[in-house]
Amino acid sequence: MQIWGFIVRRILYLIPVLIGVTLITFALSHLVPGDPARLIVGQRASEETLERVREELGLNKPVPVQYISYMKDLARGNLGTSIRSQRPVIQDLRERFPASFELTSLALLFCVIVAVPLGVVCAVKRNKLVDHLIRVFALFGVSMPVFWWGLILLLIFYVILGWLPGPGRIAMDIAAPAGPTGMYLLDSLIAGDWQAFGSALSHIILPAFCLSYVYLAIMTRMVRSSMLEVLNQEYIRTARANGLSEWTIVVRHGLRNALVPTVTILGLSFGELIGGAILTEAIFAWPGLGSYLVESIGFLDFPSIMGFTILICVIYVMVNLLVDIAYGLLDPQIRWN
Amino acid sequence: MQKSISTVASAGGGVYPGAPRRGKWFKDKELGYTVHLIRQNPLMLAGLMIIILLVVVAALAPWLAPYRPTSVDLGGRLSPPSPGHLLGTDEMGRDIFSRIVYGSRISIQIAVTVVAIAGVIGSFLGAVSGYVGGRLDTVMMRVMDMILAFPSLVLAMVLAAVLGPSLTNALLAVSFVQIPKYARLVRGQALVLREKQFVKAARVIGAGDLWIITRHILPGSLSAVLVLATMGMAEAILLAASLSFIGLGAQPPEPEWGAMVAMGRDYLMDQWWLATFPGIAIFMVAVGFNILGDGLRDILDPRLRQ
Repeated sequence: MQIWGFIVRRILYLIPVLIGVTLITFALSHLVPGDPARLIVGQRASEETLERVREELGLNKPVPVQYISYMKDLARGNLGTSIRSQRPVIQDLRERFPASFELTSLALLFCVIVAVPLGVVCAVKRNKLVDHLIRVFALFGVSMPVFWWGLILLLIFYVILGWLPGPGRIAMDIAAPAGPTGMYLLDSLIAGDWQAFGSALSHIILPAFCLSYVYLAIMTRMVRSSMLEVLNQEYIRTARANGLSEWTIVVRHGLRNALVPTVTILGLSFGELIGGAILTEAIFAWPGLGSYLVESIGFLDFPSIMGFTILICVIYVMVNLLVDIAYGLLDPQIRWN
Repeated sequence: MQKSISTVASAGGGVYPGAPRRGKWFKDKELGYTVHLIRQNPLMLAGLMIIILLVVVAALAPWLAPYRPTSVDLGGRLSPPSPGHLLGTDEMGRDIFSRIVYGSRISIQIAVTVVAIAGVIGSFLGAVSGYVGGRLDTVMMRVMDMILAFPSLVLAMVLAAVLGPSLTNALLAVSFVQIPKYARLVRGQALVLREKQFVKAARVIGAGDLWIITRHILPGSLSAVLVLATMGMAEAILLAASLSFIGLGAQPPEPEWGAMVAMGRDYLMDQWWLATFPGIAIFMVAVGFNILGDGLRDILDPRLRQ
């Protein structure tokens, strides 16, 4: 029953953080240069219209009152109305979410498949040529400007070689699969629409690859360093002395234990993945949350910007909560502290 | 007396006999050893060379660049790389090589400003928080947690959007985002250092809190901060370039590399050189700072210095 106390404590700990997030977004949306009401009505509107909009938005009330009503709205899932689309922000976000989720999950999957073996090979072949090569590969990844990397991938695979399609989620002449998930790959599979599936798949390869590199680099480094740590432990020496096969030692005894710290760091650097997704979506005209943010910024659409920010922070904090819980489940020592 | 205290303070380790005194690594025998360690690390040497090259290029920009970074030549716009224009010209006929050369100055400005602002504020907050402890520490760390609850690019973008698009505002935004890293790092160091004998001794002889923080806690955290700052420069350059790419940082016609990639994006299909070369510059500099930071960590790590 230890674990339940641990989970509850972790969830309670989230409350001040989330309140802090809303404080920051609230402060920022009230620091908006100029007048939010003016942004909505435009430059030519009369003083009266301006006053009316201010009243509608509650901007004439004292700041603490405004914050409380802001929090009430948030609790109801009301993130305000987008200036650009004139629709509730939450509706816009809901529409954009599946595309981002599809892209990031695929990128993440790719990362795990590639980074774990690379990190293990590095640690096992420490200071050998393979290790150095993989480390340089990882170093390049963390130094890569994502927006430029995306352009270079487009240049090579779309413009020069023509192997893969350009920006977008699906070919123009193919109807987007309508389905329950909003994710083209899944929806087209459910509908059995192979043509749409192929097109969606070929469109997602480049952006997913672009997005995965940075995170993959971080992950490879993490797996490598925690593997090195684990392989120095006494139980590994004992396993060797007992004559276990190298595979059993490295994978069953080494990797299993090395993954625990790796997962934590990955939760913390999940923000890199989100940041990378924003830039990737902007490059590949991927109609997800990231390009929504970039479009909103171009339009100074602050309700949308803040709505996006709150949603992303909640996701980010939740991912870290799940990671912490997983960590607690994997490592009993954590729960006791 | 005072001198010996601060030497031990910056050592932090050196508890066993014959251990190298890390606090003096920049002096006498330790210097020789450090040079030896650098020599043994070819990758780090490469990083150092890149950064030195960056500084030299920035310093000699007017002599190295064949054209002015903003001189427009509409007749020769979008011309491919040639002996006259090594890396070609952009959509206004400006020489891309010259713009990249001048852009190195902006990159150094970004790296130095961000690390100076975030490093100084963050380290000081962390030192105070860790040393004083108690409620102040709890509050301070909760505030840092709140900032860390935002993915760094998201917070930097939102801040820059609120402040309005300009290089200065982008730098402020990036600096703000980086503060918690330094604060957390130095706080951790401060928690360890404040229990050390020499800090207790200083307190006993009547040293004030501020004195201990500035003479013992901050110098004692210096090597860790140095490593973080070097890598922080890479991150600052990448973040600032990303903001510029989105249009929130440097504004045209400034020869900022991220903004140059953004302009080149529209010409990717036929004029690949516009976006490619400035991006290589960003990448190289980030690689330089990252390997330098990696190497510094190895060199300053007392466990590896034996």
